[in-house]
Amino acid sequence: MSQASQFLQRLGHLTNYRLACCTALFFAVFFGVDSWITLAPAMFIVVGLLFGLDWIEREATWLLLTVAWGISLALNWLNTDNHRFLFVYLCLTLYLHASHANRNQSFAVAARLLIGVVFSVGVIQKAVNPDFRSGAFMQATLLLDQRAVSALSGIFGLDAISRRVNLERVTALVDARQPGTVSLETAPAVTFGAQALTIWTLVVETGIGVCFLVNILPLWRDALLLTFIISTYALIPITGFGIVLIALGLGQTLTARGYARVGYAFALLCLIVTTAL
Amino acid sequence: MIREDLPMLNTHSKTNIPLGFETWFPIALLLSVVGWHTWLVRTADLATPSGGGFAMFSSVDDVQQRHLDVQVHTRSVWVETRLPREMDALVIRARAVPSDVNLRAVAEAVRRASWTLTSPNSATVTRDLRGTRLEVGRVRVVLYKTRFEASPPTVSMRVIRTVEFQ
Repeated sequence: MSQASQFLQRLGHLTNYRLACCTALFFAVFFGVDSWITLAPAMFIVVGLLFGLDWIEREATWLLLTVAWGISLALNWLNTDNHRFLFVYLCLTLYLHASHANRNQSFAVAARLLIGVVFSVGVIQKAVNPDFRSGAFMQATLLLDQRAVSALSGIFGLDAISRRVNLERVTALVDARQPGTVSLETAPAVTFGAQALTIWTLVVETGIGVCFLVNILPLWRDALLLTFIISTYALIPITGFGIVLIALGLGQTLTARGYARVGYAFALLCLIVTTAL
Repeated sequence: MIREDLPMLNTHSKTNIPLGFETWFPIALLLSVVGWHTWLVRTADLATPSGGGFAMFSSVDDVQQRHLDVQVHTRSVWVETRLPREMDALVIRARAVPSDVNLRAVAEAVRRASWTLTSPNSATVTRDLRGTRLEVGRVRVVLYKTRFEASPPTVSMRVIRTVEFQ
C-alpha cells in the first residue's frame, strides 16, 4: 500500500475530536512562541508525546491551554488578532467536550456552530461598515496593503512602481506628523477589482455562515470553507486564522469517506507552504 | 482514538444531539465579546478590527492608521519625544482606545521618565542615559488618524485629539 493511501486511510479512521485536538496543538506550538505563558503548556504536551504520554485528548490538557491562552488574551486583548480569540473558544470547546459521553458527535455540532457564528458575525460587521460596503476597504488594500499588493494589485493592472510610490507618499505623510493629504496612483481596473472582491467576500462568507449554522448542504459547505481558506489565506497569508478554521473544519467532519478531511489537510499544507515561502 | 463509535454512514454533524452547556457556552462567550467590542467601537472609538469583534478586514480605521505624538514642555518650548520600546504597550492601548484614561497613562509614563536632548540643538528628546536630565513640565499628547478616501484615491492625516496634562 502506498504512503499516500496509508495516510488517507489513517486520516479517515481518526476521530473528528482527535483531529481537531492535533491541529489545535499544532497551532498552539507554532503561534504560542511570542509568550512563555502560551508556549510552555503546548511544549509540555509535545514533550509528553515524545515520551509516549498521549495527553492530547485529556480534559486537563485543554483546560490548561484555555487558561494559558485566556490569560495571554486578557493581558493583550487590544493588540491581539481575532484568530487568537477564536483559538481560546476552540480550546474551551475541546475542554468542555473532553469528557462528554457522546464526545465526537457533540463536538462536531459545536465546531460547526462556531464556524457558522464566526462567519455570520464577520459578514454582519462587514455589511454594516460603510468602508467595506463602498469597496473603500478593498481598494485601500489593493493600493496600500503590503501583504496583498504583490499578488492581487498586479492582477488589476497596478504596476510595481505605482505601488512603491503609494507606500512612499503615505510613509512621508505619516512621518511628517502634520495634517495633510496625498493622492495615490491607481489603475482603472483597481476600482472594479475592489468591487468584485467586496461582493465575492460577502457572498462566500454569507454562504459559509448560513450553511454551517443551519446545517445544510454538507458537501458544499466544506467546499465553500476550503475555497475561502485557500483563496484568502494564500493571497493574504494570515496563517493563524486559516489553521484555527481548519481545526474547526476537521472537528465537524464525522464522515467516513474522508473527502473533506483530505481537503482540510491539503489546505493546511498550502498554508504552511505559502507561509514558508 | 480510533473512530469505532461512529456509524459508518454518518455524514458530518447531522445528529440530533441537544445543545448542552458545553456547546452553547463558548458561543455565548464569543457573542458577548462581540457585543462588548461593538459597544466600545461606538462609545470609546475602539479601532474597528481590534478586540474580539471579528471585524477584521472590514474597515480602514485600524490601529496602524492611528499615530500618537507626545511632546514635552521644557526650557519654554515644546519638543518632540522619541518614546522608548518599554512604552509600546501603553501607546498601542492609547491608539486603540484613545480615552482620557489611556492618553493620561502615556503622559504619566513620559513625565516619570527622564529625558535629554538627542543632540545639543535638537528639537527632540530621548530617554536620558547620560545623566543630563531635562526638567519636564507639561506633556502634550496628539492623536492623528490617516483616512483613506476612495474617489479619487487619497490618504489624509488629521488630528483627532490633542490633550495637555499638567
